[in-house]
Amino acid sequence: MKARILTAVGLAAALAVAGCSSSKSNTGATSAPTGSTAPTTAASASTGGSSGGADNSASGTLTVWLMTDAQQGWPKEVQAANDAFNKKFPNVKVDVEYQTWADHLTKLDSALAATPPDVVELGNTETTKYMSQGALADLTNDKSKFDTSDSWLKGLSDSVTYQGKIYGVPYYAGARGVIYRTDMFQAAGITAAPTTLDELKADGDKLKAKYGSNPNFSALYWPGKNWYGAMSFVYGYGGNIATGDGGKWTANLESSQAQAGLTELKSLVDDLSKAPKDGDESKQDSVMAQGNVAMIYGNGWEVGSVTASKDKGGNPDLADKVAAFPLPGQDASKPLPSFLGGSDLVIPAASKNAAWAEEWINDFTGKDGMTALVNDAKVIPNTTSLLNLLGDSPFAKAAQESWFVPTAPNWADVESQNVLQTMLANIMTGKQSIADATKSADQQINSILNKS
Amino acid sequence: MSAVTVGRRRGAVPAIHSKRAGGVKSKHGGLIANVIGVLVIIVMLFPVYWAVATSFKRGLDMNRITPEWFPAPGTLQHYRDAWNKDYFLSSLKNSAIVVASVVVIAIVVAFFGAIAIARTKFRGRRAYIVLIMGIQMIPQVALIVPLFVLLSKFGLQNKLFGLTVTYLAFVLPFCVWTLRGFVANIPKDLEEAAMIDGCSRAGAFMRVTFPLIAPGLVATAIFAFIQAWNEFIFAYVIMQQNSKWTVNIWLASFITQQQIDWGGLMAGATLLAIPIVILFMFVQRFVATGLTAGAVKG
Amino acid sequence: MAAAGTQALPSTSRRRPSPRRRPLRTRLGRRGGPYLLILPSLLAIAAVLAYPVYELFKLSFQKFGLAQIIHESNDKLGKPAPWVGLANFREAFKDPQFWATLQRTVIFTAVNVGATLVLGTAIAVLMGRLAKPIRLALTAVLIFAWAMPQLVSLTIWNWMFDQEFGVVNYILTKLHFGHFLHHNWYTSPWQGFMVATFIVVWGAIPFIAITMHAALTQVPEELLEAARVDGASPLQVFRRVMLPILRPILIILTSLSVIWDFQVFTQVFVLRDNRPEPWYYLMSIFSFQQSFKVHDFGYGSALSVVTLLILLIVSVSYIRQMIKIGEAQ
Repeated sequence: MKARILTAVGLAAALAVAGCSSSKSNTGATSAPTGSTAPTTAASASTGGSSGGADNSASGTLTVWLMTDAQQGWPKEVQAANDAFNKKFPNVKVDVEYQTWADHLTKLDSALAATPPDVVELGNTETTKYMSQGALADLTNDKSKFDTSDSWLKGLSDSVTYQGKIYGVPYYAGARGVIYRTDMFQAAGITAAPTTLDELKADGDKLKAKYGSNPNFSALYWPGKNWYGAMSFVYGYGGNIATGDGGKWTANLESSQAQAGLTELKSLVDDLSKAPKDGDESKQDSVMAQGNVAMIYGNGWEVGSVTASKDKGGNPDLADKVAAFPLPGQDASKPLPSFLGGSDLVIPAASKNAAWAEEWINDFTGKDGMTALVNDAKVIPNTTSLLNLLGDSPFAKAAQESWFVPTAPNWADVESQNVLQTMLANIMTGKQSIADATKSADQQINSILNKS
Repeated sequence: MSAVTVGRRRGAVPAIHSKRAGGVKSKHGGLIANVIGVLVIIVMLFPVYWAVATSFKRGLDMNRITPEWFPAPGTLQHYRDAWNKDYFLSSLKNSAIVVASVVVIAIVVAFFGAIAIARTKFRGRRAYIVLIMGIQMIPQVALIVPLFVLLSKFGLQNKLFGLTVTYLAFVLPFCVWTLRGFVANIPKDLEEAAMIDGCSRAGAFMRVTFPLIAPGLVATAIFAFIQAWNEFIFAYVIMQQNSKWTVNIWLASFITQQQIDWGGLMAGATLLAIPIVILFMFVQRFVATGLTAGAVKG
Repeated sequence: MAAAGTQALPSTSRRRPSPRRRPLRTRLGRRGGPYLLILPSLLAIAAVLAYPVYELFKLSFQKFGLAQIIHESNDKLGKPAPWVGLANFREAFKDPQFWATLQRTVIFTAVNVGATLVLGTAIAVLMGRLAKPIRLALTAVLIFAWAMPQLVSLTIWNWMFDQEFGVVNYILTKLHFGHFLHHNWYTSPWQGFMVATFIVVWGAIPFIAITMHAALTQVPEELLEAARVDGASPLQVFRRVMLPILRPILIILTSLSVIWDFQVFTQVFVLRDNRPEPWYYLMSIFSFQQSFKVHDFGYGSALSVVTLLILLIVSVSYIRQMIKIGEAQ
């Protein structure tokens, strides 16, 4: 109990410092930390210190924004976190508010201008801008408060780190792999999953030979705008999207490595895919459930949607005919790296309940909460220490060999302006050569990332 | 020229004239017109049909390369899902409260404004009209953040009242403008005559003016209704707690990163459409007479 | 009572009001009456919109990003917004994207307004020529379409034009309009905007058609008969007899359509899966992207201000007419 009071006080100090450090860049007021940024719990902890453990009786509301995925997928685990939290703080009401991906940042921006929530789920590619502008509370000194912080998944912990400081807590991840139809592979005479890109191509041709009479058949269904997949080729061939040096960013898609990767991808797609060349991957699990597709490159959870009940849009007949393997690379020892998508939980710098927020986050994403979440929803945990819960899943393996987007403050603008999707659509439809398309993408990325 | 004059007279008292060109003319309609009419019905109806049909389809059958025209074999699973989905009834209740408040208040308030510009001359009348027109030209997305800041300063975020006043401000201009047409269309002499005949001012208004404006009020109310019922982004930003959702936010919650629950979304939308359609069928008679009576004047 | 009043209409129109019982109009017109009447609407509009509109203009003269947003909530966070004068506007006028977007928006508006009005009026005329059950069915369908939540109708449209499972591609192919299976409607912006136009027009037709139909029902039948007896063709009847009567309502509907279509946002945004490519930007989308995606609220606000000014200028003559209408009373 006492320890908790101490951490609360320590946290108050830490946050006061955080408030101070983020205002350092201010032109004007850089005055000493004052009560307004310190969390209310700290205040109540110090005033009630004499009676011992009085912070437990503090009352208020902790506002948590989670995405609708939690509402649909794992409401039990959210409730469990609330219960665990309320055991410690019985008088604090936890208000979990569910958000939609399409509009949640618009809502967050509005809330940041007035009364922000206390815990916010952000996609791991959305965090950098908010970190760099001082919108999020600095948790560097509290990192040890979070159970699994010593083994956070690198792809996620990178996304909450900005200039050496920690501004959030990894929540869960998703990695990609090739999801395939075992029965089709067998029927086409393929005995083992491919381990190199050449094998993948050869297998694809066998599948085409077997099923090609169906005009809708794709051996590998790969929509042209699947930029997460495309960048795996770029990184796997030794290229990257952009590199930063002291705040100056340089886009590298024109590099010969990146172009080699994209060339390889284009030939693969031209040969094996009937997917829309300027479509995205959002419907691919449904396509696979229809039965016209032998392979897709997708997220782990898509296995579940492909084989879900018919009412839910899946095809349960495929239940034991779908498996996965990592996307192979040039040689068998090195599969192409997967993009590690996922979510983080952050605390807005202006939150008045940061101490509670940290407690709740740990109740939700700490060891116990995460174990339940992985067992129930099969997501990739925020920590390598729990990866074994997923057995020898190729997705869990892919999570360890991953790439991540450049951590430039303006990266989100590159995504929101669809620079990479546009480039890929131009390449895949043949509108532009790879050299031209990458060149113009580089120009755009450079100008966005280096915009002050 | 004379046509215009007659038109005005006719427009002036829409409720009284029963013989209408449109209605009578149907006898001239030939086979071709009716065939075209059916084609138009098909084109206009198809998306609606497709939504309803989808709500009965099994998920697997929704994305068929050869479309499944009828939901057979169908399922009621999506309706069960939608009905049991969290916050359905509370969202419906919130929407009902907000929409009803908006419609009633907007009509009363807009009616006052309409009388002022249609029946009186005053300094600032032009400015008022320009304001009413100009407000409709402001891109609404630009107002999201400052509006939220404003509401939260007064503690009105998360409050049905906050959303209600927001919608009021957005629908009032159109309502004032449309109602102005209806009020202007009623010959002022009518009311005067009634008063000469011994009616009190209130009596003259209630017994002469009001019945003539009623269709206009209904038409305007419907517009306000549709605006408030269908609005999404302001409701989403302002109403944060799940228990304060309106129906559109509830519908949007069928969409997650992992998937769109097509069936649930369409079933939910169909459920929500039922009361609306009943209401509309009920008042559609007024829509036709209402909207024009005001507009023809001019 | 009402009927009596109507009967009396022609004769009373020149009669002076009785000095004892002054009509509503004059009593209210004397002093504060009008002001009392407009007060509630002014209050509601001002209370909600005065501050946001002020902010909109203010922001357009500022450099306003995420750091400034945070600063709004707490002085110790973020940074205050620097004034930049007309820099945002200069940036817009130098930005080729701005000019391309503006041009696109103007064309899109013109096409949509034109198509909506022509088709809406055509359907309204058609409604007058239909057998009763078909007319009722059409009215019901129009109302169905009108009442459908936009979120749902757009989802459905998006799906119907889907490259792979789109029922539109299937139907066009089966009807032998060509090989449309796997046809992507969005590769070419022309086709993409055609789809968007289709959807916008579909959504706007109910309002226009029902209103125009009502307007047509008030064209006196005797007049049409007379014209027909004189040997006028249907087109001539429409142009010479109907159109003059419909003119005022056409003006109102045109101007409202211009205002609405110039600000089309959701249809194109959702059609492009919430990620419109730059060549699908309309002014509203451009402004939204700059504000909420790029977090350059200053620039985004400037774009909104420009939109507002353009609409105001375009509708000056319309507003003049509108002011006059009231005054003629």
